[in-house]
Amino acid sequence: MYNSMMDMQTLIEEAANGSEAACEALYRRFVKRAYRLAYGVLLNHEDAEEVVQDSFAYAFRTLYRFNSEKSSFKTWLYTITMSRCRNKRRRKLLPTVALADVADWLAGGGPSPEREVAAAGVRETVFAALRQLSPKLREAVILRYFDEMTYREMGAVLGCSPKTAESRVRLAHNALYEILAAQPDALPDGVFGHAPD
Amino acid sequence: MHLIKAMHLSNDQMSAYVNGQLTAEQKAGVDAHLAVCPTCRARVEAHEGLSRDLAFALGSLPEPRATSVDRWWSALRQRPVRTPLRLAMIAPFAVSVMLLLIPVFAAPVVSVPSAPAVTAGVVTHRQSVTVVSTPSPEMVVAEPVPQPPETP
Ligand SMILES: [Zn+2]
Repeated sequence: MYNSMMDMQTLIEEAANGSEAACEALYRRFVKRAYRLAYGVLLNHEDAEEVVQDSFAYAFRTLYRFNSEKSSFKTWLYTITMSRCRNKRRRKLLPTVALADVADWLAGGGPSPEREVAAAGVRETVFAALRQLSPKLREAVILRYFDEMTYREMGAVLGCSPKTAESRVRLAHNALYEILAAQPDALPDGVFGHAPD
Repeated sequence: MHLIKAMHLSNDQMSAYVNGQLTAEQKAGVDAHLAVCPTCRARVEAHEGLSRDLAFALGSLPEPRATSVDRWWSALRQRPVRTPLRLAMIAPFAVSVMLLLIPVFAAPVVSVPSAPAVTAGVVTHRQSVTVVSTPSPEMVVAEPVPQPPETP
């Protein structure tokens, strides 16, 4: 009944009215994106997992407050997710990075032809650089590049103006440029140059 | 236009350029400079390379496993949120608890819950929690339920 073609408005209305099937359909439609966002911000699987569950629980609980004329469901859900990521980070005081976690993911691609190795190298290098950014700059650059959000949407998710979102992306971009340019020997082929397709 | 060649582009201008932040007019100015300045052209190419790398790296953020997606949903379903069946059971209970508590606390002003507006579940649940003075409604609703062991 709740197939992938069902329009969002209907789904949201039915979910707000207590339909578990509609909630599940919404969940399944957005859970991967929410997880990837949380993972990108927190760089830790357990934290991202917890944030995703809390975010959906909160979203379903407050769905009656969602106004589709003010934002898309995606932007609304990302706002909730981002806020929980920030709480999680605050509680931990220091951003902890599970290196084994990243290594797992990098190694998880099965057989590794050369191209795959190079691609993993680019990812690893970029993520190492991202970890050096302040949380605010990292959030901005992640939203910009992982889901091609507009600056207006980013502002909504980050709780700032579109102009501020723009400036954070610029600052992040420049900082990453400096970080990566300062370690040219560490760069695998592809960073700054010919990125993998 | 004589300024076009005089000054190189700043990093800020370049990152604004590659991140789509310039107005058409500003972009035309940058393009005009790039057309005559190989130095800036090389640097802009490096900035564009960084953008591609970012799009690639962040575009390939890991997805959760299918088993995790199912397990999280099972955990979510067990949170006291909004399933009609659960509400139907909670609502009368909440009211009866409230009626029982009125004499105990000798509280003159206890409002009987009005018909819930949209999310009957949440409202009813919160009121029941408030009445029995367990931890704050927010905490109870948000409390994670123990998760079932992961299914293979
Ligand atoms: Zn120049």
